[in-house]
Amino acid sequence: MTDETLIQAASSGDDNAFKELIRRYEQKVAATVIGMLGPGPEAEDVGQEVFIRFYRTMNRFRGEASLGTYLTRIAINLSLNSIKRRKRKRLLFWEKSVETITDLASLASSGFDEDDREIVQKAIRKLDPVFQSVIVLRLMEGYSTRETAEILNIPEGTVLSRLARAQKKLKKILIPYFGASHGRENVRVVASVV
Amino acid sequence: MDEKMCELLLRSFDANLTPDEQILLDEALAISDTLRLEQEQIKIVRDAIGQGASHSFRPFFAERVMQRIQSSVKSYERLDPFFESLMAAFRPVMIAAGVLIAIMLSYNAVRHDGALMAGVLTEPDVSLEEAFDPVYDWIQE
Repeated sequence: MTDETLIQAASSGDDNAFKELIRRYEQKVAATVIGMLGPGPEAEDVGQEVFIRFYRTMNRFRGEASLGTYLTRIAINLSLNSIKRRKRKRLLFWEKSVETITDLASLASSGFDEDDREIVQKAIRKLDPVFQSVIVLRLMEGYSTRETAEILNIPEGTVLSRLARAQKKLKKILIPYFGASHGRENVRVVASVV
Repeated sequence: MDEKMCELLLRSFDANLTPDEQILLDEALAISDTLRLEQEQIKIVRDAIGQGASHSFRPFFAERVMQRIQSSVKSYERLDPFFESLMAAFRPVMIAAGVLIAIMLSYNAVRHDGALMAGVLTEPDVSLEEAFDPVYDWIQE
């Protein structure tokens, strides 16, 4: 069944059709939202909100962009709103940012796969939200530079410059850890190149 | 390391370079160890980010979303009769208020005898002097 057929069925009240749409795009939305906010209840909540928003505005979906792109756009916007709320809350209650470089160090020394993922996600969350969004869309989700520009509604040149700046910062954060853990093979490659 | 070359290197991962730029970058990579190291480090970072994506929420995500949608629909349905009864109760009040406003407007219009709309809708402006030191014509009489 195509997305269009499912949307039509869901619009006329078929809940199973909408459930199928959620199953199809859950991973895409999860990658965006968790990439932006990190794993946890907040990301889950925003993920649910993405589909609820879509459910409410389904009749207005004209299919100009693919459903995946449309949902990613909603996910990015809701994640950015959530980051803003989080910042306001921190300012209001004088909360300190929980993630520090030492957290990353302890993760890097403790394990391999899941921890590596956490290191990457924490490093991404250290970036400004506008840089986070280009990294998540381009490097995590694999959208092209043009698609990333379309989703974020910014020029391609801006995507490229944000990507460059974000990568420079991520390199500073990640190279020490990935040089010490599963990046060893890569480091050997680097050493052999040099 | 040349900053311009570094930018060209970063851009080469995400955009098509022009043939001239590509030649320039290839030449620089051939002679610069630092630039090659930079290229490898960027690859490591990009690979790590690519692998760092989490592609799932907790199990039964779709069911939880549907539950939230259904509960919001139900609460809307529950609120709907409430608002309808509220409207029914206040409808006579709204009609009475409308009639009263219309009477007041027409009364003002008649009294001011073709005055401006401001005069019809509101009381004429009263200056501070008039408010604190009113002239009572009947005293003189």
